[in-house]
Amino acid sequence: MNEFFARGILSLLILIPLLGAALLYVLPAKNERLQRNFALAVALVELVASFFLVRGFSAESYNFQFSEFRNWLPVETGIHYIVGVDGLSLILVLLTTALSPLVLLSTYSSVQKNVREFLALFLFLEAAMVGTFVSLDLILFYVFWEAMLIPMYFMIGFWGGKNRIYATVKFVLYTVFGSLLMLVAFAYVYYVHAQLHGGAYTTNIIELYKTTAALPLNQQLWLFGALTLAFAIKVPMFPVHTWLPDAHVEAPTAGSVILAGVLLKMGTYGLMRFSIPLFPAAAIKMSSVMIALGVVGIIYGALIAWRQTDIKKLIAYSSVSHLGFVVAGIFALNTAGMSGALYQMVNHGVSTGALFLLVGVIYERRHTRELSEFGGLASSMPWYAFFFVIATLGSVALPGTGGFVGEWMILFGVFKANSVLGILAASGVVLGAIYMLWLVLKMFWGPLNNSENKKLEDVCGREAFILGTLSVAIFALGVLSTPVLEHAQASLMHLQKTLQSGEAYIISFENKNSQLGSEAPQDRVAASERNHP
Amino acid sequence: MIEKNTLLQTRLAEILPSATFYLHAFPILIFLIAAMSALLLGVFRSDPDKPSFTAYGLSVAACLGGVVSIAINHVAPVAYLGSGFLSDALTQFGMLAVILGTLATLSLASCTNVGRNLLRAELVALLLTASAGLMILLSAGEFLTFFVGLELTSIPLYILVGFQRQSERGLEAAIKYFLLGAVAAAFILLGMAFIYLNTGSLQWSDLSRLNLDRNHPFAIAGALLFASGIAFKLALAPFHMWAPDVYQGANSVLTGYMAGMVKLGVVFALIRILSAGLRDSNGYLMWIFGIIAALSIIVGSLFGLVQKSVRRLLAYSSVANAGFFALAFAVLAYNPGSEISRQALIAYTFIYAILTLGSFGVLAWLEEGVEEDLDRKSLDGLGKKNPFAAFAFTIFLIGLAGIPPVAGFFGKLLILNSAVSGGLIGLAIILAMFSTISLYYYLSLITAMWFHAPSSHTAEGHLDVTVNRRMHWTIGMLAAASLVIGIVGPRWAIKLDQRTARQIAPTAQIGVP
Repeated sequence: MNEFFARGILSLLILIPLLGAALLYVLPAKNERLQRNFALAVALVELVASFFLVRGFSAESYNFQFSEFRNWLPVETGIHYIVGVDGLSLILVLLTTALSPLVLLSTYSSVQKNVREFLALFLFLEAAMVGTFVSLDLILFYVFWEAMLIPMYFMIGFWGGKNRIYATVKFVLYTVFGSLLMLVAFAYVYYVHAQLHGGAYTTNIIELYKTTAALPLNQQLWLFGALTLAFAIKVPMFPVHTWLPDAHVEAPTAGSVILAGVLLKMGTYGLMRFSIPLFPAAAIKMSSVMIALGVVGIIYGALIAWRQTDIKKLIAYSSVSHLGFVVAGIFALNTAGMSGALYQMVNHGVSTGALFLLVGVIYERRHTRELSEFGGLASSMPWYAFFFVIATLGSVALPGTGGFVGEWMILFGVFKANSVLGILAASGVVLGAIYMLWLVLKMFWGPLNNSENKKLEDVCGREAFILGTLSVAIFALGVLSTPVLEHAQASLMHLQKTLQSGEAYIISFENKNSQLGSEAPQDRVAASERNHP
Repeated sequence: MIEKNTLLQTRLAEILPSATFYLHAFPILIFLIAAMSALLLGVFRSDPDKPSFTAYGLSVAACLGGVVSIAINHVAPVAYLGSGFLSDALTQFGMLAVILGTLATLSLASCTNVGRNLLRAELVALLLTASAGLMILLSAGEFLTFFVGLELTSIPLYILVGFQRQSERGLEAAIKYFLLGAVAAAFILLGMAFIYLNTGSLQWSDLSRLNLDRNHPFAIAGALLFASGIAFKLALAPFHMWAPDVYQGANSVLTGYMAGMVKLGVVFALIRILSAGLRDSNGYLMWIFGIIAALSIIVGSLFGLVQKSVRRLLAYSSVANAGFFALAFAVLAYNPGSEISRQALIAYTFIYAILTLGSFGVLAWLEEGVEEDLDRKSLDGLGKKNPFAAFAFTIFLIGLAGIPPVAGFFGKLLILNSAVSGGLIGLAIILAMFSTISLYYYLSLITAMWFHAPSSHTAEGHLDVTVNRRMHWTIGMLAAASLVIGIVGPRWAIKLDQRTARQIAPTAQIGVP
């Protein structure tokens, strides 16, 4: 059984949701309840399967584990189906599989039209997200990265708000623009590798890490720029963030949650998996610029968020600010900054996910998100206020919540890299507290003037369960930072060492639980390369 | 006397191809025979304006016969008739693609009322002749056969475009297509003549003798003229003007055939020409094709944005896509050994043919019962009214936009790889940027289908149940093909043994060179 899981669990994690999406169409079309339950069950199975991943993962190693190497396109193209996880992707895969059931649970009330299509798209999206985090082949990664657009496009465009078409088209165009330039860069890397290796093509990143690190700096800078632009759009970093508020505001609640919770992390993940280790010299050269852009994002996002009158838009801009922290932490290029960034990705997923759910709850009841419509909600909806305050505390990084650990580590890392920018970034923490607490103040305290708010129903059991789980997670992350981060420690340490030494990022496949040992996949890589003319 | 006889026999044996020729060229021959028989059938019909299902059955049988003969044929690169007919993996694959495309066209035509007009005996004969011409085109190894094939394809298409005599738009399209096509044919002929002037041979294997440099202006003029003619046939900018009008005027099913299959035939022929080892050391041809490619991508992406008619929009999309082909031509012209470019061209033409046949098939379905051609508004809310058509159309559009997991992605990927391997990074970036722009109009169609509410002029494509089922099958097959290729990748195109595309020495020299 262990053997089986070690060899195929990642493919299984991609296939389960896809299969679930297909099976939805076998179920009776009229019975929406059954379809919802089925989709939820699929997501739970996926979650359980991902626990096996954690159990079998060995935290001491920085290598790719559970790796699978299969032929996909003909061997001579060097494009293969390669998946594997290291500490970095493990945590993000877990974030995906853990958030998905909660989001599906939230759609029981929020999605009412074309339920089956929504669920199928959502499961397809989950498969694409997991696929993005585990693929170790440039083209495979690209396929998942782009395939993710299709369900998101339909989710925003079909189930979204008033201005949904504009938002969804903008979202897709922004992303595709970046990713096509990234594809050109991939093609270049692919070609350069073949040139340097006597015509042996490959898109296996383990091989490419060695090739690209040796490229001259100006080439590295161009390629780094192309990749980073694509990821920056996804993060989104200032100044390419403008699609995010639109997409968030117009998306249905489930879409917003998954967008904030997981999709944005695909950008920061891309930076850590591709931009930096592929082009280390360029990353070091550009680190201050990137930190500066991150810091601008922090402050800019916070200031804009402060001025918002639409609650959802406010939280969307707070995402820009929070992701600014993550980017700054990543480009501090030291272990503290990068672990903080990774941790902050998880925290942001949980706390902002909770905030979007909370906005969804109030929107379902009042059909408005205007801040001026609310006030004094704490007396009419005490439990709602309770959960909202907890999510806010997580978002403003109160000590005791996960956000505190993450932001503290990021600030520490950035300060070590560049003290001026570190100080500026720290100001973002204060700004973050201002606009979030101001939001809470306006919504929940003060007199309950609006008569419509007086008879509002408090959160129901299902909502309380979702929000309760997330609230527990916010505090749990505050104390459990060591056990979570130790999974990624080896990977991040290795990355930092590589950057310091100025050499290529050397990493390999490893299969602990497999009888074949760690050599098997590499042998096949080598064998496939020997076959080249 | 006996001596004379043997002399005649040896002479005949020199001129006539060996028996295996008939085996290898079987698909062409059977298509021509079927075309003739269909013509004859038409003579004996009492009402020639009615669709002839005998002719239809005959042509389907010819297609099946062709497929079987390709399946059992042994692929060994041989040249017949000088190098007039090359039989190799590329030919076999191209023929298979043409036959399948013809089959899909016939099947789509048989589904709709407008399309059934295409099944009149003489029109079926024309379609079969055009397909035979395409097969001659893609198996040619020298200029004359190439030209014969090209004209054998073009002339029936001029007629087919205008066959709806009562439709003004159709007639306009036919005239436009014919006049411009004739000019393009003249360009190609003149280009061939100039090239012959320089190399003294019509065989592509001698193209390596072509001196493309400043001291030989006629060689350059020849190459330029030839490239312009080809650009016209492929609807490459700035020779694309006819495409929107013709695509709009012709029967949708036929438009799919024109856009998809003709491109396939011409591209395959060009693969052979460019692989033959032109000495383009100054990069003239690369520049010509590079500029044409950039222009087509830009024009196709920008002009498509403002089109109201769906067919005109798809016409501009086909201009942009032809630009991708030209990009690979540019690389192949400079580096005839570029395997990546050949793979890219083979894969993308095939994928593109599937996507175009599919999308125009859907349009033909939707146009049923609508007098005018469809504009964007008539797609509003199609997802509600005819979810299957909307779903299939969405797949084809996503494919044309090049987003995985639909096949078009691999086409675009291979083209990009080819461009980068040829050092044309600037063009690759142009391709990337303008693909984003063209994505906007693909998205606007998808948006209209799924996110807009249906209105009174939404097309439905309601037909009777049995016909609908046939339409479902044909379009479903095309959509499934584009998804499957999009997931497993165009393996066949990459594995295809294209070494033979570069050169096959003629087995026998006939007459004077």
